[in-house]
Amino acid sequence: MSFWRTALARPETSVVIGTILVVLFFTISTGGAWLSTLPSVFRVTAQVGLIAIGQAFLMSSGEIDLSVGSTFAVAGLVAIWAMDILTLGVAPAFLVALAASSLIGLVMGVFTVYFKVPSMIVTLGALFVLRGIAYISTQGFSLSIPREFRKDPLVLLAKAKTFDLNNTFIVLLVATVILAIVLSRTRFGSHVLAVGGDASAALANGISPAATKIKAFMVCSAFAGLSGILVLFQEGSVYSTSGIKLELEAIAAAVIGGCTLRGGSGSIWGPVLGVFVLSSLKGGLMMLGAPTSWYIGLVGALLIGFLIVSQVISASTQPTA
Amino acid sequence: MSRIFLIRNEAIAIASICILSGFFALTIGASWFNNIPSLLRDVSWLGIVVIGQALVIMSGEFDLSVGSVYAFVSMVFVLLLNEAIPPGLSLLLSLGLAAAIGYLTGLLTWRLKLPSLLVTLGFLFFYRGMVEWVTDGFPVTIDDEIRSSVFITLLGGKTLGLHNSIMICALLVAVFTVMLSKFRFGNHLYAVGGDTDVALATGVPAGAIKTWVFVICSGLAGFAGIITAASLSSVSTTTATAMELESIAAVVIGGCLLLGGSGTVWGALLGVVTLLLLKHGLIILGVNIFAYQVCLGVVLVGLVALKGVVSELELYR
Repeated sequence: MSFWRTALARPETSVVIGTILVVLFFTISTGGAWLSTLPSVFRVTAQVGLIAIGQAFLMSSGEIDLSVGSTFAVAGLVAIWAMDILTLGVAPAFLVALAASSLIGLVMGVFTVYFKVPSMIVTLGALFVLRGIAYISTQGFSLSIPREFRKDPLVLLAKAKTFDLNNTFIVLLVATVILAIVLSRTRFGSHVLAVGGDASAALANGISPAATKIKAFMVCSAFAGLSGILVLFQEGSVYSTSGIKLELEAIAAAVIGGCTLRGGSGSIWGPVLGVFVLSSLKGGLMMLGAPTSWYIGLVGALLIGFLIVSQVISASTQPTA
Repeated sequence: MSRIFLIRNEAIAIASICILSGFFALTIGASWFNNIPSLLRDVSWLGIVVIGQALVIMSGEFDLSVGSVYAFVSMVFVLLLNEAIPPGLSLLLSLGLAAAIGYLTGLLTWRLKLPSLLVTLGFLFFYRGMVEWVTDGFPVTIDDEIRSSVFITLLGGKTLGLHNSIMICALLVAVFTVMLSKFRFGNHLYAVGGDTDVALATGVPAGAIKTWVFVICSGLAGFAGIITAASLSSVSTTTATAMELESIAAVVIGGCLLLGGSGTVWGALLGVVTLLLLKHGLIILGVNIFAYQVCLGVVLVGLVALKGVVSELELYR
C-alpha cells in the first residue's frame, strides 16, 4: 500500500493518468492513425511547453506571470529588430532577444518585490504594455526575418528535424531535464521552493526572498522569450497577435501538471505532460471530426476536472488528524 | 488635507479623472464634450460588471470568467428571444443561468477549497468555448420584430439622449454602496475578505458570503451582457474577450486592496471612468488605439506601485 500512497501523493499523478487515458483514447478511436500525427503534436508541445516549464518554475516560488504570451511576441520582434536595424547576425540577435526577455522578467520582479505590487497586477500590466508594443511595432500586421538571414544555419537548425522529431522538441526535452535538476537538486532550486513555501521563514534562514523571486521571474520570461525566438525561426514571422492567450494555456498546463498557486512545491515535467495532453486534444479532436470550437471549452472543463481530482486525491492521502 | 488625500484609497482615481478630463477637454475641445454620452454608456456597461468584480475582490477572491459569462449569458438571452419566448421571461431565465454559474463557481471555491483564480480561469475557457460551439463562430442577432418590444427598449434604449443603462448602473452602484456600508452583508463581506479564519471564528458564515458574492458577480456580468445585447441587438464570439483584465484593472485603480477586506463600489466605478476616459480620449486624439493598451498597463502598475510607496512613507512618519 505504501507504494500507492507515495504514488498518489505525487503532484504529477493525475496528469500521468490523464496522459495515458488521452493516448489510449485517441489511438483506439482512430485505429492507430492518431499515432502518426505525434510529430506535429510534439511540435506544438515544444512551443507551449517551453513557456509552461518557465511558468511552473515561477509558480514554485509562489508568484505567477500573466505576461508570457506578450513576452513571447516581443522576444521575436526584438530578434528581428536586432537582425534588421542593428544588422547583427542570427546568433547575436538570438542572444539579444533572450537578454531582452530576461530584462522584462527583471523589471517585473523588481516591481513585485520592491514596490509590493502583487505579481498578478504587475504581469497583467506587462501583458498590456508588451502587447501594445507588439501591435505598434508591427502596425497590426507582421514582421519577418530579413531575407539574407533566412538561410542561416541557426534558423535552419530550428526548422530541422532529428529522427523525425522537431529540433525544438528536443530543446524542450533538454530544457525540462535541466530545469527539473535545477529545481530539485541545486541550491537555487531549494531557495525557490523555500521562498515559495514560506517567504518569512526563508528570510529567517538567510535566504533573500527578493533576489530569489527576481531570478525566478527572469527564468520564466527567458523561457517565454526562447519559445518566441524558436517559433520565429520556424515560421519566419511574428504577427501582432502571436502568443495571445498563451499565458492562459501555459498556466492551465502548469496546474494540470501539478503546480499550485500556493508555491513551495512544483513539478517541471508534469506541466510538459500537461501541455502534451492539451495539444493532443487539439489535434485529436480534429481527427475525430469534432468542431475545433470544442477545444477551448474542453481546456476549461479539463482544468477544473484536474483541480477537483487532485484536491480529492490529496485529501484522501492526507493523514486524518 | 494631504493626509486625507493619502488615506482615502479612491483619491488616486479621483485625481486621475480630474487630470485626464481637464487635459482632454483642453486639447480636444468640443468633440470631447459631444462624446460624453457615449463615454457614459460604455462606463455603465463595464461598470455593472465591475461592481461584481469589486465585491469578489473585496471578499478575497478573483473572478476571471466575467467576460466569458457576459458573452455566454447575453448569447443565451438572444437565442431565447429568437425562440419567441417573451422578453421578460427570457431575461429571468438568463439571469437565473448567470446566478447558477456563479453558484457553481462559489461551490467549487468554497466547498472544495480550490483557488478561485484557477477555477474561474477554467470557466473563462469553458463558457467562451460554449459560445463558440453554439454559435459556430458567427454572431447571433435579435430578430427585427422583437427589437422594438417594450422590454428591449427599456433595457437598451435612451431617455433624454442618455442610455437607460447609465441610470441602471447608477442605481446598482447606490444599492451596493448602501448594502456594503449599512447592512450586515457588507460587514460580513469585509470581515471574510480581511481574514476568513477570524470571520469564521466569530460566527460569520464565510461560505455563504463567498458563494453569494460569486452569484452576484456572475449575475451582474450576465445582466450587463443582456443590456449590451438589448442595445446593440447582437452578440459575437469575441464579445468582451479582455473584460476580466479590464475589470480587475478598474477595481485596483478604484482603490480596492487585492488581498481583500477593503475598498468601495463607487471607487471601483471611478476606476472604470479613469480607464474609459483614457481610452476614448486617445481614440478621439487619433492616437494608435494600441497605445491605449500600453497606457493601461503603465497606469495600472504605476498606481499600485505608487500606493505601495505612499504607504511605506506613512509608516516612517
